[in-house]
Amino acid sequence: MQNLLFSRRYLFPGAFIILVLVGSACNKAAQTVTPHLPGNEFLTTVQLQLTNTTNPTDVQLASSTQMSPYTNTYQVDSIYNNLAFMRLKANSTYTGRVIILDETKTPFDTVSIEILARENYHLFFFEPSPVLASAFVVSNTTTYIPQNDWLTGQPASDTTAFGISVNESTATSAATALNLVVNRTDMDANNPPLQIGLQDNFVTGAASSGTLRLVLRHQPNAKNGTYDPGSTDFDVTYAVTIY
Amino acid sequence: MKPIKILTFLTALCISTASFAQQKPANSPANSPANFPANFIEVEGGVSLPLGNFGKTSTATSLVSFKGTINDLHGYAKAGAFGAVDGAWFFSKHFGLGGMFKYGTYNLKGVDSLSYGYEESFDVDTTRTTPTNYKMWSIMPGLYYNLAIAGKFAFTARALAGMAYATTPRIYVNIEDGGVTDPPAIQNSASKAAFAFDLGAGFRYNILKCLSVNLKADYFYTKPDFAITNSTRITDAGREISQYDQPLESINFSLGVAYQFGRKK
Repeated sequence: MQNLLFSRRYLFPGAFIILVLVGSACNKAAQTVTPHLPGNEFLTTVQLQLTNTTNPTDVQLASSTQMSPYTNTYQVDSIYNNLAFMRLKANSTYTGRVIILDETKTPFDTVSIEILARENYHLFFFEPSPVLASAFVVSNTTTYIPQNDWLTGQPASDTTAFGISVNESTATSAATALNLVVNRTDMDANNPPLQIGLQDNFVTGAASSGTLRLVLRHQPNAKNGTYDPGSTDFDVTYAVTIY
Repeated sequence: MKPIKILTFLTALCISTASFAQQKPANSPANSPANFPANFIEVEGGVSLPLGNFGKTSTATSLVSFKGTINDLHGYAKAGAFGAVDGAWFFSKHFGLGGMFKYGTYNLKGVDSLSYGYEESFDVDTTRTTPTNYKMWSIMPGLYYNLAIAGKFAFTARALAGMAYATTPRIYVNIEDGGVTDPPAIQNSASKAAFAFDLGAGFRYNILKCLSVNLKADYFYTKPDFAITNSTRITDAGREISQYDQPLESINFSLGVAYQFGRKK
């Protein structure tokens, strides 16, 4: 028995096999899942503040909110657009900034500051509609939303844009288009830098009317200047009149 | 190619040491091989406790970076397991030449911190972090020491130097937000060979004339300078390591079984 146990022939191969088996047993891949932590902010209100560059007293503040004006409480399935409009002077340039608020907090929280801190994976898109077809170019430096992602089939009763259809469309001439071009003016800290859209220029043409859709895309580890990657943080539409 | 040549040389050195063990040294009253400790070949295994930055983890909040990536010196190595084969030929009453081949792995600890860091850095709903482990093997010739204490007990020590070949874990971070799966952040595995040394001491108990058990503690050190690549890191946020130049050092405790041969008395 002793000879069998301590035989030269079996002792070392046996011990080595045991070590390999022990090593293999300790080599299991682990996965850690971190769910979303509670306490993050709501994006209750999105405002566009526009200032005419030649007339600083011409300030427009368009606001779209999910805070009920009646109860001053957050309504998850509602949107209040009674202030979601802007009147812009024709053939003018406005500096614009996007202000995002969490009005469930007292005092309210300015979420756009946090978006700015997370600028490397956030990107704003502006889609004027009807957009002049010849001006509609989707690229990683324009603010247009690809046509595949346009709003279509919205009910005529949608009062989001003060009776103007929120369905997006193209126009073949300036006479029927909303003559508005939006350019982002701020850049993030990626290498190379990409646009953000918290700070913008709004350039108006001839008098016209339509809608302006504003979408914030959250593109973690995916931002490349285009619309597609990531998910949507908010999607609001304003009525626009150029006079 | 160079590491393979060095490995071949070290392997040859270990084999030649074993070959020398088969030769009979000349008898002389002053230096009689009859008084030498037995030569041995041993199989051992044990636990390895990482030291320094190699075994440390970063806190979750220190890994949060929204604008720009963040470096991380910590290795997240958990206590690991290893197995080794070593042997020595004694050319005097106390000293011998030998070598050791060792293979070990270390799983990662603190993965929840890593995962939280990525989740907060990218401000997303869920991250799933899946790491592989460190793998390390080494081959080290060196000097062995033996001091008979009493009866069947002996004190042993060894000082070995050679090379180690280490592989870092691959860390795969799956990112989900708003019902969308975003591109994963992947820290790829990297491998590197480097100089290594091992200093150890322990006790030997002779069960039989040809068999002993050994209990040892060793300090192991190597410092490969890993160049680490990352895949699908599209935006600059969160933890991102492109180089890891920290010592991979550990204290190893092992239990071994040795076959002893060549002792005359």
